[in-house]
Amino acid sequence: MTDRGVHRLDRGEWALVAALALAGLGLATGSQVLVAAATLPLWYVAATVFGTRPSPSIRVRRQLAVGDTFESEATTENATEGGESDGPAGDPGDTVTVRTTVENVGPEPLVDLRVVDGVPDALPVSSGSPRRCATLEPGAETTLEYAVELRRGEHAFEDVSVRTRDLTGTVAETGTEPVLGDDALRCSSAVERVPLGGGTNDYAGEVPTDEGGSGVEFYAVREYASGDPVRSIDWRRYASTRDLATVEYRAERATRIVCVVDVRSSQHRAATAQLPAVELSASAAERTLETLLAAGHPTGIVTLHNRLLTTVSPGTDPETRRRATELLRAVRESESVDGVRARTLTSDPIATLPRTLPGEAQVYLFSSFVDDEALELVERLRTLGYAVRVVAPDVAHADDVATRLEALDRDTRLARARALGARVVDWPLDRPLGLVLHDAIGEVGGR
Amino acid sequence: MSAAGSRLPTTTARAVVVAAVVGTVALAAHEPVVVAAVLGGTALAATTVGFDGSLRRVALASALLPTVVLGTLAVVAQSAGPTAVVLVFVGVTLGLGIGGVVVGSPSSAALRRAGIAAGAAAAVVVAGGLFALGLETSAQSQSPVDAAIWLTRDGLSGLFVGIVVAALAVAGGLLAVPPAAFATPASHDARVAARDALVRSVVLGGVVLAVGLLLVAAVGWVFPLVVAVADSAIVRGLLALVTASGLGLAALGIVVRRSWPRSSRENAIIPIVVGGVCGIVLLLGLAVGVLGWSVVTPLSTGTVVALGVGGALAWYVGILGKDGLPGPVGVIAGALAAGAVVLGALADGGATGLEAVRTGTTPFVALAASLLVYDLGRYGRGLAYEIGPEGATPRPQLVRFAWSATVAAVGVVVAAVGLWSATLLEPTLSVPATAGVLAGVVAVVIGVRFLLR
Repeated sequence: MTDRGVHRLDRGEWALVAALALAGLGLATGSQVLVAAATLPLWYVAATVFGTRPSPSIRVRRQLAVGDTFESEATTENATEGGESDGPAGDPGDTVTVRTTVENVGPEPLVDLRVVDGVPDALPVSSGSPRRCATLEPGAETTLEYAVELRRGEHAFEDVSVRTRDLTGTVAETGTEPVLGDDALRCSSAVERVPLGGGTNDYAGEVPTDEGGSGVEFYAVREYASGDPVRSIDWRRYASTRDLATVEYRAERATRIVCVVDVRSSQHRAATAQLPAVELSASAAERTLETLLAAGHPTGIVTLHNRLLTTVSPGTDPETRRRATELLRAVRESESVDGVRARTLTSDPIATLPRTLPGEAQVYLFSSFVDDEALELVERLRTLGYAVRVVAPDVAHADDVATRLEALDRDTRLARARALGARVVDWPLDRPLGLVLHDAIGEVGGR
Repeated sequence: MSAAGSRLPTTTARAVVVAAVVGTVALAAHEPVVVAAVLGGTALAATTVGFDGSLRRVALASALLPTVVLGTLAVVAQSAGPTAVVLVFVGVTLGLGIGGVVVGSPSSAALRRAGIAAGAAAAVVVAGGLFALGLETSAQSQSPVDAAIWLTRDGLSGLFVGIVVAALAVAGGLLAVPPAAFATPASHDARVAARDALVRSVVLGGVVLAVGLLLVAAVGWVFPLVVAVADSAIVRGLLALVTASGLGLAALGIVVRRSWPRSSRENAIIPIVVGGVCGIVLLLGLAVGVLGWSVVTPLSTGTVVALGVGGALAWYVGILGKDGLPGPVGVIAGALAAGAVVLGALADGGATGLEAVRTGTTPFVALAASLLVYDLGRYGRGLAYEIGPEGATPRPQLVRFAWSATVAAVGVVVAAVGLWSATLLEPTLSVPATAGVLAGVVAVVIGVRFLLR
């Protein structure tokens, strides 16, 4: 144990005061019984004499598991003391089960052993307790099992705080104990691949289109027109039929992507026992952003407030990445952010938002669809010809009647969004976001 | 180690209750009614905690409060002599502490609610008493019920006044109820308009009915029929009931109007007032039905005093907050110590030998229980602060309980044996001599501490 400190918790002053008070009362009232009773508290004073310094010798192991499935004990046994490990990873909102085992490896029993696990401040404990007070015989062990809710970032567990008391409870030794096994959690995995929609501009890029042009994939053969490059002529056809024809390849164009994150008050109101929708949407947008930027697609962010639009224009440069990430972090933590263009609106933001988007952009909309405004936004975007993809965290998931009715309305809205041509990802919160985005958004679309 | 909780861990709380029960038995050996007082105090504590729950629990607690308070008061009244009265008060206090440990301490809001419920019940009794006093001084030789029914005098004029008063009372009751009680913001205007129309109808209907009766009475052959109706006890009883209901509704509406704008959304004024009033009315009705009208005066007086004073005290404590007040463990320890001091001061000073041990044992045990409770309370609070009730396993708490109980038991045995041997060797053992022995023990303890340090 490190950082040890020994404290005397009780010197029996209270009992001494009680004894003197009783003796005084006995003398004042002439009661022999009270005077004799004054000896009673003195035994508590005498008991403090027997207080001795405890000398604990313990070993602490910790296991972390996303969900409630632990890996084999062998992994933990082989871990080095205080050694760094990457630890398990999960998505925001996942439940991580922590199992910390404390073993008395000394020869003396520990009458009153108090242990507090070093839970990172950012992770709230959702069930169980990271604290334990137990009595341990030599060789015995006790296990703290509790669950924390995973938040985005990398989180390191600290050493456990330990306090032992002797039998009389008058002397305590306090310190920290290093922990074997897992000591970190990660919640920052990126989406492997974010498929793109069909919206492109007129610049060359990587998104295949439904038009012929210069590319690598065969598209069509048409009659030769004057001025066609010689290398595009289908010479085989010319050899067999003596007709000139030109081979066209599928044109590939660049695209710009705008991630629209719905942070209106309805996205807070719809929160259930899970994280609020706004936080889930921001996390999903951040992971999507990372993947799209890594793939080289100019990507921007728009956050949709009740009367405010904050935007980061599409780009691939580090400054755009920094500002977009900062904006999404601020959304998650309900903070304001500097250096981002904010536009306060006097009109309906749903009507204003489409006018602020680049004309040929693809739109990724992150909203829980618990009200009609999100559907109205999809309708307007589709009317203007934008390719829209919707990621909708399912926060309307509970057993009460009101939430079930809310869920029915939400399903209807998502169905209407699909009917409008938007690609909709309904995100049940018990599924990892990475899988949802990977599996459900679908293949690359063409124009 | 940071703060984790404030409530005692379960095992320690049970140990405190066991020690308190042992102390109660010691006190009951001298005054058996202490047991009933402890039970009454425990019930009072449990009832007060009920004011922290849902609105249904609040209504139930309000209804039970008068019964529990009067039951406890009846126990106090059973005690004879000043010593017994003091011990019964100690017992009630002890019961409050035990209840606080078992079911938890009431919050400040619960205390305020309990005070309001007690005040409402006392107000009903006072209002009923004043009404009965008014009837009694009207020099009528009728029972209170008959006097209330015929308050507006007999005959056609009495019926006329009764109908008008009943209509006005109902209209006043309807108007006093705040619109928020029966309307949402969206339906406010429509509901208020409907309420106003109903009020107009009631007043107009009452006046038309009364005037119509007078006019119809002018017709010769109908007159005997109208007179029969006017003199009917059933009709007058119904009118009195409607009038009383209207006045009760008006009183409730006024209380609600004064309460609602000043408090949070969790406003429990209606269950508090309705529960308190129903509880006291049922209690008094039951008492009159079983014991007769003779118990009304002492019961009402006791109710007003106990509920009024107790309710005011609870409300005041709830307003000020409980900061600085001892917790339930402190209350138990203090009550047991007070009981031990009372028993010790009253013990027969001339007893010798085993008789001295017999008289000294009960205060010794009560005092030992008090010290044990105090020690366990300190331990439990520290454990709750550092670990919290969820993480505290029973075994270390049991070890601590056993250790502390052993110290207390050794103290009791040594004190009893010391008292026995002292009185045996010197039957006229003086207090100064006993004090000298005590000083010797203190010197030995201090010397040992210095030596072992």
